[in-house]
Amino acid sequence: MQLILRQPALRTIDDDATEVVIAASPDTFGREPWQWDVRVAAMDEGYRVTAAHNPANIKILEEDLDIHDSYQAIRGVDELWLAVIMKHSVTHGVFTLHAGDVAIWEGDDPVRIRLDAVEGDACVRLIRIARRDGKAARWVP
Amino acid sequence: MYILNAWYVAAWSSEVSREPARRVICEIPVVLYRTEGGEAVALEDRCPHRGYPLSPGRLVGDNIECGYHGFTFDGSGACVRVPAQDIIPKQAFVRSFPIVEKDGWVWIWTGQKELADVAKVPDTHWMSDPEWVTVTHSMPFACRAELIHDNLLDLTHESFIHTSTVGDDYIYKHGITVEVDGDVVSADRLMPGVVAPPLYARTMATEGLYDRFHCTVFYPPGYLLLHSGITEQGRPREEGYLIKVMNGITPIDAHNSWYYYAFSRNFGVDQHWATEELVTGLATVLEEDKDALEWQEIGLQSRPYDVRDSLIAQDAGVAKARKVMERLLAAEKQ
Repeated sequence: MQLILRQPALRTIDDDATEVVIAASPDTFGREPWQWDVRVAAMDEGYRVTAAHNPANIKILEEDLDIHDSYQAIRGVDELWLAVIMKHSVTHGVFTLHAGDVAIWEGDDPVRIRLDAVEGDACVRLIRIARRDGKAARWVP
Repeated sequence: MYILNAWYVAAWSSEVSREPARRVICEIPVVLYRTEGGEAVALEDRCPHRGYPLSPGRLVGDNIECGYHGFTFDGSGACVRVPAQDIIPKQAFVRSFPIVEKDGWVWIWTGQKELADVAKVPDTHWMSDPEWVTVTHSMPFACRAELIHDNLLDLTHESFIHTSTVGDDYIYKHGITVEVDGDVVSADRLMPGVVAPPLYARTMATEGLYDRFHCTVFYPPGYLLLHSGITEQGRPREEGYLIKVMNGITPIDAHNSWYYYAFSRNFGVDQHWATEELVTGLATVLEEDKDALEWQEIGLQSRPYDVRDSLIAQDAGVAKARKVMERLLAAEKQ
């Protein structure tokens, strides 16, 4: 499953009107015990990305990618990946993602991730989420 | 609770005539009629005198006369005649609604008049394009409008509800791309190398394997456009047999909705037998949806309030659409 969230924001949170939860498990209040969430805030100087998780159950790896030409990787089918475009634009398949846009991938399709810089060097925050018990990490609506 | 600052489908153009027609939209009673010049009029369907509906009344020129005591109103909602006296009470007026008529659809703006933006009336141009041919249906569904939104944003139900027409197990086996752009939510599924759906296969004169796709785009709160079709394997979508399904979903009240459905295709345009076949087949599809969603409405009405849906990844479009609707509703309350 692929989810693409375009700027502007989807949901404001109580303590900061500019910050939004872009994905979470669960994403519905009170549904299941909280596991993780990723928030993005629009700042004057760009975007601030905050990832929080329950370390007992979840592993999160964050990486800043400077994409001069292309970034390619294979995502584990049990992993959930989020790419937040921090600067400039990239393409992923038929989609062009601009600064502030977010792509989320989970499940068995797509596993081949390829981000191509459109013009100039693109900066992308890549967040990889996995469960410690080896089961599949999911964005739970 | 309804999002009122929005365009909703009130009727087909063919349903608005010199005979007043009643609709209830977001719990607002509305009477629709045409002036002698053919202009569509929408007024609140409740006489200010004593609350009798105007729709059972009669048209007098461009005005509508209440069938109870003869209070008469012009197309702006102003009272122009009170038969029993010469003075017209100041409070004797009915609300009028902005109306747009386009491609055979009649759209009504149910919110603040000054916010009615004609540019926001959804695109339905396939209905009047001679290169496309259209089948329409409309029917009341005894379910809340949101269930129809969900139904169209998660088409995996086709594998189970519509097995004889557009369904196949391969649908739920393929993932989706959900895109959220401002208030617009889309859910796109590409199904490479599959057979054409049974309902269209004969019209399309297809054999073998194709790439099938469907992409539902939700323009909240009341319109969903489904881009669907099949192409030769590996070929661009625009080269294929294309279908545009326009879905106008208009709340009647918290548990009932009007479903206005238009199915336009760019293949077999001159094949009248195909159109006739689709009239029947698509009615079957809608009846199957109606049956399922009305049962779902019954299920939800008896469900404890603290039990929530157990959405899965295939519901990503559903989940995001619900959040957009919540946000729009909250914004309108402010």
